[in-house]
Amino acid sequence: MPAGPATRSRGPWLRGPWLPAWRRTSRPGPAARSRGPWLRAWSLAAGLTALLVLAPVAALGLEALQGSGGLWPHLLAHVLPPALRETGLLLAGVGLVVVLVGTGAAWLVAAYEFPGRRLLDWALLLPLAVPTYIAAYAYLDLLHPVGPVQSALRAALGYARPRDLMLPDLRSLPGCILLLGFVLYPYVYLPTRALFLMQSATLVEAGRSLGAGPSAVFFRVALPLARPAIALGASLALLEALNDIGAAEFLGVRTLTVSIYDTWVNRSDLPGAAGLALVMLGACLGLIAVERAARRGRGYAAAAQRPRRMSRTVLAGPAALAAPALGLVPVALGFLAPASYLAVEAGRRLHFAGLSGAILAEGLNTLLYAGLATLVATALGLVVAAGPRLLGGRWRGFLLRCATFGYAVPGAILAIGLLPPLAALDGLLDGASRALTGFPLAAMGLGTGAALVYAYVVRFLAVTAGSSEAGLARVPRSLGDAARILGRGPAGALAQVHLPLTWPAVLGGALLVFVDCVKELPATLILRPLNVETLATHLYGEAARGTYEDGAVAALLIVAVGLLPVALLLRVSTPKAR
Amino acid sequence: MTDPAPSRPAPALAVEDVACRFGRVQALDGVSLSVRPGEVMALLGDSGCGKSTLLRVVAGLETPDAGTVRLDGRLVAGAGADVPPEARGVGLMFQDYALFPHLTVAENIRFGLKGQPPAAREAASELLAQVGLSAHAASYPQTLSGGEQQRVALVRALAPGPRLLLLDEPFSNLDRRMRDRVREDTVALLRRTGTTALMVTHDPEEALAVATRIALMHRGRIVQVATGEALYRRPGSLFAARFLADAAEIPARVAGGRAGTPLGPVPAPHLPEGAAVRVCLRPEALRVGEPGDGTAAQVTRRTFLGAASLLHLAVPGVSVPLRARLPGPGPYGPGDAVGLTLVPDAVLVLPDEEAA
Repeated sequence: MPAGPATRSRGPWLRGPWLPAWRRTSRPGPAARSRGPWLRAWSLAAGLTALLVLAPVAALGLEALQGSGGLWPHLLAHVLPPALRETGLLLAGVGLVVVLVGTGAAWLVAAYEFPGRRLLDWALLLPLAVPTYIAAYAYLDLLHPVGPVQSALRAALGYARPRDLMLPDLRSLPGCILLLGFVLYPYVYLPTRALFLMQSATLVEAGRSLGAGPSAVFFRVALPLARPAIALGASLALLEALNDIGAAEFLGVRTLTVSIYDTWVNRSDLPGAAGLALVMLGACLGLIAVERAARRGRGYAAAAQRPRRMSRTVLAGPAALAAPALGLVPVALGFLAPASYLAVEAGRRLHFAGLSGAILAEGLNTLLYAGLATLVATALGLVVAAGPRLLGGRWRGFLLRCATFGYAVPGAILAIGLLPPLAALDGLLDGASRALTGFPLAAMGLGTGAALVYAYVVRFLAVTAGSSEAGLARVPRSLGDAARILGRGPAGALAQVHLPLTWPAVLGGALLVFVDCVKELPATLILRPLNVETLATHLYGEAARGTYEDGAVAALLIVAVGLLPVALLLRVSTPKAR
Repeated sequence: MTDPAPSRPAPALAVEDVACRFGRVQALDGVSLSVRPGEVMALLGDSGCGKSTLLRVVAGLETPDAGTVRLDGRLVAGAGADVPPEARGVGLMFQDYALFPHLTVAENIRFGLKGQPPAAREAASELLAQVGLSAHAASYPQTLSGGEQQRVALVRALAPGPRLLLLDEPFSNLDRRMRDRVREDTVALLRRTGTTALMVTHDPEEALAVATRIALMHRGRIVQVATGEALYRRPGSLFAARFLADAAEIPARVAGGRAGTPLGPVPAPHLPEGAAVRVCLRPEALRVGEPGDGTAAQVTRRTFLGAASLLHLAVPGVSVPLRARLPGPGPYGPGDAVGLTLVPDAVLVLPDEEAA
């Protein structure tokens, strides 16, 4: 003992008629092939990823502590109360709008059949392609007193001067609520529609057979069942609303995010900004806690059998016309109006001045940063999701939570949190370089855009990790086990079995991240290298200055990129049912 | 840990004192098991008894908390060793077959042949021909029937020439009619290739049909290891007796080396005086005759099974119905009076574990 495996290889099994003389005999001993190295490598990578995500938040806390003694009293007395009030009202209003519009639209397309339903089915997702700051940019111009809408109204009503017809100003809290609500409702529409399609069929029919009419079925069966989906969608929409910086600022609403950005950029008060960011982080976590509570005990209880599609009520007569008209309202407000405005304006600009070199350069910058971040986030997401599945580690829950955590941290907070550690790192690198080579090495992190890519990765890692995890979860464990038994190591199993079966999910996640990076504004504003513009920051700059030069072109490009994942989302969210 | 004696070949698989715990569940609680080369052993037990965990520990898919696993005498788990599954040289056939849906049948079978000489591929296609699936080599597994998928899974597991083949409920996904045939084919293939096999099943009939020996598991422990016939005819415990076949149980006490029942005394030679026992009467332990021939009984129900019929019988003083089997339809119907005699060889007298 231990007997050399090679000497033991000729067993009784060699008698078979097909007698493979090459039968699997010796393998390297246990020392050469053990799971140790893989597990160590994965643990290291996973630990670094967790550190990567948690570092900015930790830095935020440290930074807020370092402020002068008067920081918190000042914040509490002058900055926080108005910001919290505005933010609270904004969230409440947006929440109400997205839930009403999103759930209503989802029920409309899931429960009724009418002309144009299929079209509406996916058209209702289109506002996802329009970032909030672009919608605000477009509507400010559209609804401007000398803009097309008010001019047309005056012409139709026979008024001569703008001040003869006073319409409520978009630049107000209610205006901001409506605007954000009609752009963000797809976050509720998407999961709720999927849930209505997926699980209500037999339950709705049971409700009907027990004597409930259509509206009773909606309120007593479908709506309570859809509560987890509505809660999830609403929390995502509200996180987006919290993350928004452009729309609120353009419309003159001083939310927390705007205050943070203002405190840092205009008053260079990093501790103050960090303090505000901490408060906002608390708000985000609170939001998520509320969402969890709303979902508690009500998982997407899937039936054991494959769900059957709900049969839709066919509408006839006036209802058959009213339904598509009603469904078209959110599409028109959230997508058609701003997008066609942008298309017209961009067309004018291109006709007049051609494609400017600046826009091209900004497009390339956008592509570069978003592309790099997508690559890194996809690779890290795979590591986070695949490692434990292949190696049997016990960290999976913790890591996924770490990765998801980044998504709950708005871009502005993340950026403020990243500034101190990156500045420290840059200082270290510079010092080391001076000592070793005599050359200064200025701002490697902040100056090269590495910081921006880092922020993107932290913010969107949840998306890639989540989609990889979801894809991998659909691969039965026995397939991975079979690959191991048939001679593959963890990496071989991943490459030859898991990846071929999950690449659509992984690619889907990568696409979403790419688009999110292209659309991201607050972190980009704070962390981009000096004098580097992306499409998003260009648009922000012009809107902030009140100039409208290439802005429409940049906005149109962003919306065009944003359209890519809409088709994908629709396919993923349509449950396959027999 | 004792090394195997040099004169005898090492067991193909030797499991010693293996324990495995998942959270609060003790899945394996000191399991020892030895499988001889060329043998087909069945691991029999209820769901949740730990049999599948044991299979996964042997395959290297779970790491035991304690104990050792040796394959052909080579330490692969425990005592500092932790050989990953890909280096153990065992085959595993999964309950759901685990055929790779993105690969064709041929590619599935070749998956385990990486790094082996070209002859291996020819042998694998030869094997595929033996199970009659050559025509489907280019098909994707999803397009095959359940029985065909089962054969592909078997061939894929056998193709690399594993020294030990593990089978996890290999026939449970097949309908009953097909199961018998596939089972016979599988056993034939295992014999022909001389493969040592360890098969997990919850079906005693299946274990009896396939295995040379059966290891009965209960709550993470091995209760008894014996040939199928020995396990059936001489179960070591009430649990084993109940697991292998339904029986009517009559509580009794040992007196004078015998246990008294309303059907007469039964020898209980190895049990202590006064011990609480249960006399287990399976259908084959009762012989049915004319009234007056043995203990009087009344037929309460007759179930016709085709080749045989089952009589449900009431005996005064016995609270449970007894069952007896007759060839064909038999001459008796409900309400008929009959006489019962015991077949001594088939009566089981076992210590009553619950009457402690």
